[in-house]
Amino acid sequence: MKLSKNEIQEILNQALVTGADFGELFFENTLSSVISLKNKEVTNISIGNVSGVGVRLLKGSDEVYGYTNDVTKASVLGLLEQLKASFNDVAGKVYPLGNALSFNNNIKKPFDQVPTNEKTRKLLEINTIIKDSNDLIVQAITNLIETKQDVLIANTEGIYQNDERVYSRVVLGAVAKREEQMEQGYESQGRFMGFEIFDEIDFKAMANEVAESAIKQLDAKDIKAGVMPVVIHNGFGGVIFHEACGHPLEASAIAKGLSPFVGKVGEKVASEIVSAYDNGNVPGAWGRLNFDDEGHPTQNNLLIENGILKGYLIDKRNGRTMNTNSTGSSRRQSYKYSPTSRMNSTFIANGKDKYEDIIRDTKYGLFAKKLGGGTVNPATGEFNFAVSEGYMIEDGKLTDAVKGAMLIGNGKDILFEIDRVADNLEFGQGMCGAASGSIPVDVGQPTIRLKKITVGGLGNE
Amino acid sequence: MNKNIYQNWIDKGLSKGLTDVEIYAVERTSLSIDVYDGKVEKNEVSKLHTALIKGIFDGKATKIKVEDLSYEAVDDLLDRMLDSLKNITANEPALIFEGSNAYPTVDDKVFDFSKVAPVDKVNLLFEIEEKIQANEFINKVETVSYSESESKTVIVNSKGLNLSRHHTYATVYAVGIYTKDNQTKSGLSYQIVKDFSDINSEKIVLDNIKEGVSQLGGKTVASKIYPIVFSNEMFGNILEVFTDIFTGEAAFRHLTKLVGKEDTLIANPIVNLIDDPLFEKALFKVPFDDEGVACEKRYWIKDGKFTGFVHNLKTAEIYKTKSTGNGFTVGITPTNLYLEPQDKSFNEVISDIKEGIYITDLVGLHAGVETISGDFSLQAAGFLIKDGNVTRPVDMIVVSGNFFTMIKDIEAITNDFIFGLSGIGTGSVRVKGLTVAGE
Repeated sequence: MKLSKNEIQEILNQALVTGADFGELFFENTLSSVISLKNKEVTNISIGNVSGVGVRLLKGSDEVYGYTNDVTKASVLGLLEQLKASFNDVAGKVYPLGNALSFNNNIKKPFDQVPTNEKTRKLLEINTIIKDSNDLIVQAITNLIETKQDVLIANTEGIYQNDERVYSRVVLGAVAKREEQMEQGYESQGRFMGFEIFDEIDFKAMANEVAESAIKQLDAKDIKAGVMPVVIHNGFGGVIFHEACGHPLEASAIAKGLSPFVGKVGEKVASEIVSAYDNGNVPGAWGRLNFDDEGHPTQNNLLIENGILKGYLIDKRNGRTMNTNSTGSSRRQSYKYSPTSRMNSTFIANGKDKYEDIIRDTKYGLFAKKLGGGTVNPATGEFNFAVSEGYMIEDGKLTDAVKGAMLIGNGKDILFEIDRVADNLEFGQGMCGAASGSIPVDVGQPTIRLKKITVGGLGNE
Repeated sequence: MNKNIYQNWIDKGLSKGLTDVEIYAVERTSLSIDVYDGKVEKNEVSKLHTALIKGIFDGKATKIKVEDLSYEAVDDLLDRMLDSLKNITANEPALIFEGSNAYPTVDDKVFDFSKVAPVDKVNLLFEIEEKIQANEFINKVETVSYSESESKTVIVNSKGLNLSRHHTYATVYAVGIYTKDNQTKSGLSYQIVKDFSDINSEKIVLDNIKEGVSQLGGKTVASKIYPIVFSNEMFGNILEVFTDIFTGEAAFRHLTKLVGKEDTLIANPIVNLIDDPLFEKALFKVPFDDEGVACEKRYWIKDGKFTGFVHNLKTAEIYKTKSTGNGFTVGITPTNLYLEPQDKSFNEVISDIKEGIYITDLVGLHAGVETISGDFSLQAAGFLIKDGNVTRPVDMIVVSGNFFTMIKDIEAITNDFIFGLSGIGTGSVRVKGLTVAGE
């Protein structure tokens, strides 16, 4: 970082003189690279840095925030002067900066130390598998996104904590074309690790699956709209919990009273076979951090236990409104955002059912093998999710592939609709966008069944 | 002063072996204020000076994004850029542009929002909050927000291009949460202005209440095919998602079904989709794109016929044509794209609908749309149209269709033309029939 600890202390010493009661500096230096391959050619490699400082002052829950990429003492003090003008009260107390806690990311192959041609060779192998798997594949896409984010958080309560976040993500895509019809297949895996992600995950198998998925879509029928039971498969299927329940459990929604879960701790909010967590420190996980963006160690937060609401995800500022401590859940995309409560690796815990039994016991419904994206309005609880790969279930068996299914519902009802939970928990990775920007998160669940949900689609009798 | 820095970077890049270098630099300051519950809840200021550096080596091009402008950091990134360029294998045109012969003149207002006293901005927000709060169905005013931004953009390159732009604008928006009989709905209203005195707080209040309250009591409908009227704002959102399929990049990458459809009818002949950089009703006039190419008015669809792909420098070279001035840093995008309205009022257009749905809200546009196949399935809300009149609110439905089929089935474009939040201009649009999932 460009400023010394002494300089940072000197800046913080100025932060509270006009009456703020908390001041924080968030320094960031991020290097990222995207390597893109299309149809067996390396089409682009782009590099970038994100570098700057965010300054935050609080008084109670009132906040002022400023950011700049000019990281000099004079510039930060200038920004601070602007922010301090918002307060006019007795000076707050500044504690001396403490010492940073140590951490070990155990990165085996830091992306800076792997030659570019070794990366492109590996990616070319995978891209070739997609392209050559079938003559109907007209576009094979393989991207490697690598990011190393170095941060330093210092505040007037004495926190002085650095962290290093190392992310690798591989995105595979396929476009299949038959006559006029074009369909897409897509899959991605991301981890908190370096180039060793290629030793951890079988991307060749994933390449075949993605190509196959695009081909299968060519024969998929439009699903007939209606209300029906839906079995949502494990892994990225957990996005339903993330959107419908995770966001409304964030303190940003709770503190303003804008969530159906306000005041419901200790009450039944889900069917009793549902337990759920948000864990900030799953080893190697895409959604993991050693320390959150306020410098607190991340932790495993129990959200729901046997259907009973147990807790929320809380950051410092909203915690002040709610009179509770942070749960290590404060996150931001970069120094350009003030932090707020966000998820890390959120999941529904394993149940006792077997996936095969759930399908077998379903007379008629939709098997949502893969979900695409979705959104939720935390204030109303209304959500939607696209099904990117789906099959009909008829008399306990998977039958036709279907496309175009969209699930909609309300977050406060949906958890009660879960009547089966399998024992095959897996995670999927995504980028979650909200007030404090776009951040890497895991979603996760075992296979679950919803008794009924509205399914939109194009099909007609 | 800054131009000297840029020239240094260009020189540095050339000395490392790059054959061409271009700098796209932005200096931006911003202010945003949120009020909540009668208090300033958040006050944010920023000052950024960032750059994109494009380099060409051995006929290959790439860009680096620079926020750390120190000599060492830029030097390191230029080395990385060179390494990247040596590992790119695709033979695609790599170009920078010396400049167009002439650029359209734009008499754009550059209002200095920082001259308005902060207290006036805050009071404006309090006034809006208070008036929305007075509504009988209000549960909470979630936020009322003001933000202003000033940006100065410079494009310079080793071929002598030297252009700059200067923009200021402000946005005001409000989110109100309305409740009745245990049902909660949100209202969003906004205004984007280029002069502080243009802010119409009364309209922001009324729009918010109208949107929130009118949805209360919403129920679903029976699942079947209905004639659909999309509001101007929502049809703009749909068009925005599909702009990419009109680009040379999508054509070259096999990511659009429009390849081979040039000069053929792809939409109802009443459809004229026009990109006009200097369109009088648009908020921003755009004299040149981010590659320094002069922008020009162009039909994307004329009388229902697809007129051909739009290009940046690279895809123009691939298709042996000229850039259409749509090369922006985010990709090939329109400037001021709009669907030409017909001379028909909204009421006129719905008058013969026996039972249909007027859609005023679509959620999850990026998740529920496949731009290649054109299929979409979207959470929606709006109103039931009964015997030619807009009647009760409708919510929690999914509307599904296919974009390519739908634009052939456009029956009318009403004269309630706006440039919405999507940045695309259109009136409300009636389409023959789409599948609706309800109960």
